[in-house]
Parts: sequence; C-alpha cells; structure tokens
Amino acid sequence: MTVHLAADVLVVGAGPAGAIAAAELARHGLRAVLAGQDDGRADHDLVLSGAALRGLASVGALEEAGARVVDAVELRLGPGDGHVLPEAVSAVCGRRRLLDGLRRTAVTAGATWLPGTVSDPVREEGVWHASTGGTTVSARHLVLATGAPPTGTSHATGLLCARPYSGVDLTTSIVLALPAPRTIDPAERPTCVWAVPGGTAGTCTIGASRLGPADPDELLQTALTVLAGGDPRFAAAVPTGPAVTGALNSGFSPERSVQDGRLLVGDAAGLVNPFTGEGLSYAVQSAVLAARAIAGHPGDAAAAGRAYTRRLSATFVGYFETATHAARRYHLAWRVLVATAGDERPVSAKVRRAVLTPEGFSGLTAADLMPLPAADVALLGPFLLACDEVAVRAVRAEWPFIARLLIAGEQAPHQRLRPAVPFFAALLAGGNPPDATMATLAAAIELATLGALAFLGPMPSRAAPGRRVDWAVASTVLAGDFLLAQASRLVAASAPEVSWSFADWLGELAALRAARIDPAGRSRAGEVFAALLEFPSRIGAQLGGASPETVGALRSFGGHSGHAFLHAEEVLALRGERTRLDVTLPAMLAGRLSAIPDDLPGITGGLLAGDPGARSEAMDLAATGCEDAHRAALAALRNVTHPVSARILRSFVATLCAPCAPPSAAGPAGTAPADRPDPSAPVS
Amino acid sequence: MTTTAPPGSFTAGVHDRLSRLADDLPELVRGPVRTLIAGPGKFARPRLLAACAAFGTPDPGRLVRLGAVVELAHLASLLHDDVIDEARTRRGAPAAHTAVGTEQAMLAGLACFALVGTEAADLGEGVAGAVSTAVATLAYGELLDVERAFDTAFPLPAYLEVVRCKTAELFRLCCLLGAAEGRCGPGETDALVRFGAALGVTFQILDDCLDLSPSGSGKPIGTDHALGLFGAPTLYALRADRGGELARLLLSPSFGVRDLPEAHALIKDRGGLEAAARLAADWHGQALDALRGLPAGDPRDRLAALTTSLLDVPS
Repeated sequence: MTVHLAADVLVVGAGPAGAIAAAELARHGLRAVLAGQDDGRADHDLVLSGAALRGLASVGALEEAGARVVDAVELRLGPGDGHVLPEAVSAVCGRRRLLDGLRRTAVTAGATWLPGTVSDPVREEGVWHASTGGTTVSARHLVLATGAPPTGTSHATGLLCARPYSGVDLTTSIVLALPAPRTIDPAERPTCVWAVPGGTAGTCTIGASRLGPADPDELLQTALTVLAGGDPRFAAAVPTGPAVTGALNSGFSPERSVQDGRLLVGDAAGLVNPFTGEGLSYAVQSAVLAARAIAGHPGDAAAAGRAYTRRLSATFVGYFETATHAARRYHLAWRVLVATAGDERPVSAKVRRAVLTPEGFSGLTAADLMPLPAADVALLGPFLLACDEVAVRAVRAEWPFIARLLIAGEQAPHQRLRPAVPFFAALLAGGNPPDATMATLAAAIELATLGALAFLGPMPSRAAPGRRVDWAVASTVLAGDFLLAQASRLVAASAPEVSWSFADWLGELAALRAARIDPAGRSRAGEVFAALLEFPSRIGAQLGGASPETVGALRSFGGHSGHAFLHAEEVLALRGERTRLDVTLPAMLAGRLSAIPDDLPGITGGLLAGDPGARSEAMDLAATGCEDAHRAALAALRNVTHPVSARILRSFVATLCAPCAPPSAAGPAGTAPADRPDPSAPVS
Repeated sequence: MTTTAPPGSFTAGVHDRLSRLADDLPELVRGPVRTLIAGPGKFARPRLLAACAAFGTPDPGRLVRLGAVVELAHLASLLHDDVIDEARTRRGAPAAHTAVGTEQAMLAGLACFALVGTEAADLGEGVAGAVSTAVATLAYGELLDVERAFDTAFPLPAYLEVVRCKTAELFRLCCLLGAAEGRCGPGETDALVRFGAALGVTFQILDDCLDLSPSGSGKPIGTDHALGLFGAPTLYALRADRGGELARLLLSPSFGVRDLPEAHALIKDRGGLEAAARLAADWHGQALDALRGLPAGDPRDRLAALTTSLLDVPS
C-alpha cells in the first residue's frame, strides 16, 4: 500500500546540505521531508572550517557532528616551507559520523527522513510530487541537495579524491598544500592537496582535488608525493582503506542556483572552492540560506526562489561567475598564490586567506567589532550594505577573487572597522541623514584603500630571473591599478565634484610612501596611514555640509586615527598576534611600515625577538603612540556636535585602539609576549 | 579659426604642458616621469585628439591640456607595464624601475595616474568621467595581457579583447575627447569614436607583426615573444601548428632573440603573417569606413593623413 505524505518542503539528497536544510526548515515549523539514498561511500575524515562550525552551531548540530578541534592550518604553497595560517579556526570529523549526526538533528527538529532512491520530482499546479519506496510525497517547495552533477561546465568541473592512511604523525593540525606549477604553460592545472588527522593516533585522511580531467590514482599518488616531499610526518604513510572519489563542480552562480523552482544547495549548486575542493562550509551555509528563504515565503515558491538568489549573491562571491575568463583567472590566482607564498605583505596575506579559506577576510580589519547602540547600527547598517553591494558589483565579473576580499564570509559588516565608517559619520556631522547615493562614494573609498595597500605596502622581492612572469610584482601592480581605476570611475560617476580631491589624495599617498621609502627621507611612518583615514573623514564632512570648524575637526580626527591604527598594528605584531593587515613584525620593519625604527634607530626584527629589553621599549613606544593618537582623535571630536556622528567615531577609534588597552586578565595580552609562539614561524 | 596652428606648435605645447605638470609632482616621484617626457615620443595620442577636435572649433589652450592628459595616461601605463615586464629600456633610456628601483617606479606610475585624474577633473566633469572609464578599461586590459602570458592556445577573440582594452581604448578616448572639445554632434562623435577604436586595433596588430622582424623603427624586436605575449601572426600560426613545433619553440625556457628567425620562419610558413595582415586590413577598413561617415573637407583629409602616418611607423 502506498503511503502519502503532504509536506511543505521536499529535500532531495540526504548528504550534509540536505540534512541541514531539512533541520533548519523544521526548526522554522515547516513540514520537511528529507529523502535520498545513502551514497554508501567509505568513511574518511574531513575538515570543518570556522564557517562550517558556525553554520552547524546555528542549526544546533554541532554536538552531533563529533567535531575534533585542531590547533592550526598549515599552508604549503609552492616549494617553500609551510606557514601556519593565523587564527584559522578549524576542526575535523568523520564523514559518516557527521552524516548520521546531521540526519538525527533533522529528525529531532521534526523533519521526516525517508531513506531510499527518490523518483524525479514532477511539478503539477504548483505542487511537487515524488516517490521513494512505498511513499509518495507532495510539497510546494523543492530543495535539491543531490551533490555535484557528474557533468557540468568544463571550466569548473574536476575530480575530488580522499583516502585514509596510517603511519602518519599528524595530530594537531591540518595541512593544505598547493604545489608550484611545473611549467610556464597556462594550460597546466593545479592540484590541491590536504591532510587531516584521523580519530585515532597515527591515522589521517589525505585528499586531493583538481579541475579538469584527472585520474583518481594519479591524483592520490601526487597528493602523497607532495606531502611526503620534505615532510617526514608522511614518509611512512600506508593506505588503510579504499579511496573515495567524487566529482568536483565549482561552477556556482546565484542565478543558476534556482532552476524552474528547484532550490539547489551545496555541491549541487556548484558551491565548492575550486582551489581546495572544500564544499562543506558552503553546503552548510547555502542549506541554511535556502531554508530561511523558504521560511520567509512559505506560501510562495517563486518568492522563496528570488529570496534565495538574493541571499546567495550577498553571501558568496569570488568564484567562476563568468565562464569566459574563468580558466585564465584561475590560473592567474594559482600562480599568484604560489609566487607570494613566503610573502608576508598585507595584500598577499589577505589574498591567501580570501581565496583559500571559506572565512574570507574583511577589508582593513580583523575580527574587531565596534560596539554601537542598536539605533546607530540601524542607521549605519543599510548604508554599509549598499556600499558593499556597489563595491562587489564593480569588481565581481572582472576580478572575482578580489570580490572575495570584500565580503566573503562576512559577519556583522556594519560593525567592522572600515574606512566607510568614518566617511559615514562625517557625512552625518553636517546634521543631515546621508544620501543613499553616497554609498557609491563609500565603495570607491574602500576599493581605493584596498588598491592603495597594494602600492603602499612593502614590495615583494623580485622572482628569480628566467623566462616567466614575475607574478608577485605583476599582481601587485595589476591589483592596485585595477582597484584604483574602478574607484576613480565610481567617483566620477557618482560624485564628480569629488574627482579632483580623490585623484589628489592618490597622488598624496604616492608621494608620502615615496618619501617614506627614500633612504634620505625624513617622513614619519604614520603619515601614509593618517592620509588613508583623513580623506574619508574630510570628504564626508564636506559633502555632508559640515561647518569649516567641523571639517577641520574631522580631518584631524581622521589623521590621528591613522596614526593610532599603525601603532595598534605594531602592538599586535610585537605580541605575535594577527594584525589587522595580516602583516608580521619583520615584514613591517623591512617594508618601512613601522614607526618603531623612527624612535629606536637600528632596531631589527632579530633584535626585537631576541632582546626582551628592546622589545619592551618598542612595546611602550607603540602603546604610548597609540594612546596619544587616541587622545588627540577624541580631542578633535569635541568640535563635532552631532551626537550620533561623534558616538560612531568614538567607537571607531576606541575599537581601533583596543589592542593597546591595558591588559585584562582574560585578554591575550595577559600572556608574557616572549612565551607566545610566533604564528608566522615556519612549521616544517 | 583656432585650429590653424601648425601641428608642430601643438605638440610643442603638449610637451611644454607635460613638463610643467611633471615639475609640480613631488620630488621623489618626479624623476621617472620627467625622463619619460624628455624621451623621444611621437605624441600619437594627442595628435589624434587634436585632429578629431578639428572637426569643430576647440579652444587651443584646453586642447593642449587634453593632449597632455591622454599622453600622461599613456606614460603612466608605460611605467607600470615596464615594472611588470621587467623591461630594460624605454624610449632609448633605461626603464624607470632599473633607474630608481621597482617600488619608486611603481609609485611614480601611481603619481602619474593621480595627475591624470586631477588634470581631467580640472577640465570638467565630462572629461573626468571619460578618462576614468578609459583608465579602468586600460587596467583591465593590463590584467588580461598578463594572465595570458605563454598561452599558445589563446583564442583570437580573446586576443582582440586584450587589444581593444589595452591599446584601442586610449585611441578611442582621444577621439571621444577630441569630438567633445570640438563640440561635434552625436553623428560625428559616434563616427570618430568608432574610427578611434578601429584605428587602435589596427595599430596594435601591426605593432605585433613588428615584434618578429626589424622594422627600422629602432624598437627592440622579440620582446613580446620572450615575455610569452604572442600577437596576431603567432596566434594564427599556432592554430595551424599541427605538429606542435612552433608551440614547443615558443615555450622553451631558453627562447630568446636568437630563436626569432626560426620562429619567424615557422610563423610565416603556417600563414600567420598573411592572416594577421588580413586581420589588420579588415580593421583598417573599418576605420576608413568610419572616416567616410564624416563630412568631407580639410579636417577629414588631415585625419586620414595622420592615420597613414600612424600606421606606417608604430611607436
């Protein structure tokens, strides 16, 4: 006898994405049916990124996943030594345990779980019908979580392999390796290799992925060769189970993720990092987005589809959105990543994080969030969202990886430290609510700041001579020119009256940096940073119609904030913590970014590392400099009478200076600096 | 009439304006820009702009400033191109990055782009908008050109996209600014802009042909091939390179100027030069078509003469 089940949503595909979608739908009180056949794949361990962990926690599935936290992600790009990726939160778990746990979570939340093959769903008069075993299901909404399609757009299709091994001494970290290209031929495709520790000592799972045609045996052999090369931990690895192979499809686009009323989630939507093959965090995030889109429009499948597309566009950017240039842009990104592997310049570090990790990166900053009253957030939030939208639109088609620098994995974008915040507050200082079109100018300022960082940071060293492109230098110039040109274009289109000042600002930055790196130069290190933040404050105040006194006060505020920013970077770097610019102390000194040598001539990274006295002197200097700049910035704000404007700016500069606040018991500063490991130190 | 000034005085005026602008740059970024300005430039872009403006009645002072803006945009991109390509020389002198170092050369290029921005803004919102759009396209062209290095399977349409963005866009801008300054009507402006874009593509295809054999222009040959930037003749020949002989030669790690005669022979043998010449003729034809859409007379004749001289001796 056939049983009929009337549901709100049918989720086809019972992998991680499907189970999470069903769980989240049930949590919203919708009748969800989770149907699909178990893929019967052999078990292996996989990586749970910070984004995946947050997603699992949000649907209450973290306990069930049995995640084991690992200390570090070791990144090996090209032939050099590995580096620990600072603050990359990660965990590992067994795939089988995760799947069972997620299905249990879905059922506990109230979803119905129907294991077995599902017939192709058919829609009649707005209702989907499908059957599995002896059950027929009808539902208004359909979510497809059926994994990567075996065929797809050729530029984004490849192979993914994983296999368990023993005899490996890998316990506390994940290894991610991207070997250097063997030839100058752009037709060569990269292989990404990873290893995660297993549940018992001495075991691990080794995996590899490659876009384009690949043979599973060859791929796993390459993986082992890459890992064992120069890393004794993998020398005695022997396989302990069968290899698992799957299709890799990273051909995501928000528009293709809704097909004739079907909402595609996870691998089915092509949401896979083409470099690492990582798809779990995207599976979790997209499943939650799809469920929430449906929950927002339970009676209207078309509206749910539109909402889902919108949410996807705002959440995932940076991969192959246009097939035309995908292969070449992918090749470019690979060459740049490998060429800048040992490079600790701000831009390189940011690009690595943005391209390789699902967390992405946020503008000028790390994770610091500005505390703001809800009313201020309500005012600032929409403006910054509009700003992000414009910025991403300006670069996403032509240089998708840069788009990832702008919003990937973003949490609370409205509370981050970013140049658009002082710009907004300065606009407000004149007393009028900022015009929404000013968000375009804010986007231009943020793109320009990112572009300026490419030119104003220390230069990468030249590649060894030979017949090749010097990718490190080339990408610096290309990214800088591209971002500054896009920014100028946005300014001319949205606020032509600012075009002159904007170009003049770029010229000023070039001159300040040129003076700073000149051997005979007497320019202070903080001046470049002061100019970076002075401009948004000044232009905002002028456009917002503030009085000349207020404009002057805001200019001064911006300049002092820039100095404070640099000193806070120094404090973080001296402590061996991740800085906002992702730059290490030696890189700051070598690149003449730091102000420390201005007052302690002859200081070097080695001296600071080896001499506690010099270190403490430098720390005092940086902390005092930060406090002085903070005080001066607050003093300037006395002439800003608009209460909300002043409040936002006070919060901005206080958050900027937070690393220099006196150490608290709970804070990382409580640990003696000398005892802290240097996160930039080579690991192998 | 304001357009009767002899061309010599116009380029002298542009040169003078450029020198003044460079003199106002901050000291540390000034040197490389000055050296470039002092070098032997043909002012192809300012002359094109002026020739287009001659269809109307431009203000001579503004015309000189506009000419300086487009030349400066060209110089700024040369500074950055030379950093990327590691060129040894530029216009007969050591390239800026070899003289002052990579970072200072990069900053000089940035300062130069900034100067383009302030000058364009000074000349009006329309100028600022047109210039910033063109510079954005130029930057994208720069990216396209670098990422295709050593690509022996680079498709012709993609090559044309690079050429349109990297070379033709600036020619197009000159014609657009010239038409605007001459207050040309929409029909004339449209024809001039189409003309500029087609002229720029023709110019680049012919320039690519010159990378293979000495032209007497004094430009070093084989540079683009050594960098893996294969032009139209080579890309056509690669499509007919069934045995892969040409591709192997071009991708050889030791490929250099001494291999050029062999590359030249292989490319010629595979019909590359002939096909590229046809492509150039096609684009030249498009430029001339656009030209015919303009009113007959002195300005058109002079623009045609300028076209001939530009295509004869690419800079």
